[in-house]
Amino acid sequence: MNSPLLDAAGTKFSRWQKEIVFDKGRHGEPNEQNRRVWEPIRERQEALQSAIKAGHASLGAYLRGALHIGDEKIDAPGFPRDQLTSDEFRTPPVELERELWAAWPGVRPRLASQPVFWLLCHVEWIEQGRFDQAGHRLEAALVGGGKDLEAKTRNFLRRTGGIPHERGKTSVFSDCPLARAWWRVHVAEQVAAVPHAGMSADEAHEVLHANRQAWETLARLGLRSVTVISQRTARAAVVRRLKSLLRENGRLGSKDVQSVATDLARLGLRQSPEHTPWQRLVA
Amino acid sequence: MDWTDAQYTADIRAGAGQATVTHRLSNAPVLEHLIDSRSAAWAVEIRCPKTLMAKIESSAEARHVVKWDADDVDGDIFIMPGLLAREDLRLDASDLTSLYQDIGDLHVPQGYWLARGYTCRASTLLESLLSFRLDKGLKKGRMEVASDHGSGNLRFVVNMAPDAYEQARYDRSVQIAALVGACAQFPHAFRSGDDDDELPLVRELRERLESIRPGITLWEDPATYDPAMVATLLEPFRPAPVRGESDSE
Repeated sequence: MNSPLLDAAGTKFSRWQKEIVFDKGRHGEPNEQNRRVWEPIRERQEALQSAIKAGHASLGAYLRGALHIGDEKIDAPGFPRDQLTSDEFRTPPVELERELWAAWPGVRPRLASQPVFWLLCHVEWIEQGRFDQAGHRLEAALVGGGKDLEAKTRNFLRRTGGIPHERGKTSVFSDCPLARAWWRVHVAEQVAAVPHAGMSADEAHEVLHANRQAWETLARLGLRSVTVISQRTARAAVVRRLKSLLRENGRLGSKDVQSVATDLARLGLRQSPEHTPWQRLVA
Repeated sequence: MDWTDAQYTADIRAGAGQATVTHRLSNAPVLEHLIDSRSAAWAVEIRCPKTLMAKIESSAEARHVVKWDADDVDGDIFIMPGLLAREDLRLDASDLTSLYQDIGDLHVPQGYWLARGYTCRASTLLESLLSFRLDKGLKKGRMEVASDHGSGNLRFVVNMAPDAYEQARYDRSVQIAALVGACAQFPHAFRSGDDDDELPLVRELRERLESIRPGITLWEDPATYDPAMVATLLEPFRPAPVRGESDSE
């Protein structure tokens, strides 16, 4: 995927997203007084839903129009399977996540951290019918679970790349299932590359995949408040500890991640995890 | 620093994909000896939170170059210099501040920071805020400014007509006009659904502006917010030379 396409789509992406979701924080609940705000948004949401219902070709055309990219070739990474079920798309199992990552060797963190990259990929995958099993499940995959038009629209935006103007940089780690898959395996591979970690990439990935909220907490901490855990040795120590907790308790939660990361944050204030003997790091 | 007269600074020159860091330490003879004996090493940590990347490189030389792969980073990159213990150490604490008066030798475990410098960002605030793009669809002399969250960073893209695009590269007035356009969008662009924390860029802008003009009205109060003032506080216009005087710049 070329940079000019990403750049060109970037501002259109932001504008389109802001024009298709209703900002209650700014306007309050929809009412007669703010009708002139929510009514055009509602119309755009209905247009999106109609495009989804009409099938993958219509939806692809709609999205290309929204992003002003015409017939430009997107060149998304190849898809390892013909189609995904809606459950597989929304919650990729462990094996599928590894398959996806392995099928995308050209994706690197710089690209994978950009919501517009993932949306462009989804445009092409939608056009290829990857989420349209038997022609009936596109709606279930992309907007299923939303109780009203606003919720369905937000589901669509989240699942195809995220809503960065509301969710910030966490979108690609938490909201978009396929982006989330890439990042989980990417982190697992980095953990496995640390010799002392004593874990294979599969083992590390099992830990990161064990609980969605735990993964999102780990990503959010690395992104915002405990950036020291992005040092490879530190991250390996965190995942090693989480593996032990998972084995002891049979489950993993956000609080486990918070606790382990906080311990490492305290350590990181006074010493470099990368240069601290491994046994002291995991003690 | 705990040594009473010690000073540590680091000069950082950052460019695309690398930074040259020059560490300077004075009046800390115990630490200087550790460096000479290779028991301590200069270290530079690079962090890119957006891509969950953090790495640290150490060197025996006070001036070293650290590099990072462009494909591993996006958005802000932070550079943190310092001095690390390469092994477990027992240090003479007699030169330290009075806090350490009665402790005898000081035990410093391997990996401890012996000195740390200020965190520096690899790009300037304005480089993070604005990017200029050529837009062939714009009519002559036109400019449009749009907020862009598509990359996951908040920034403002300045789309320029072809005739104006080249001018933007060197004409400060055009750059300031673009900055005013970006600042005009702050009240809307800085609304985040996540109230728990402010975007780092927004926080940095706020801190910078409040340090220049304490009590300044910012984007939370759109009725009295002045984007032109905010823009020129960040980047002032430079006055044109008065007729008959030479331009000394």
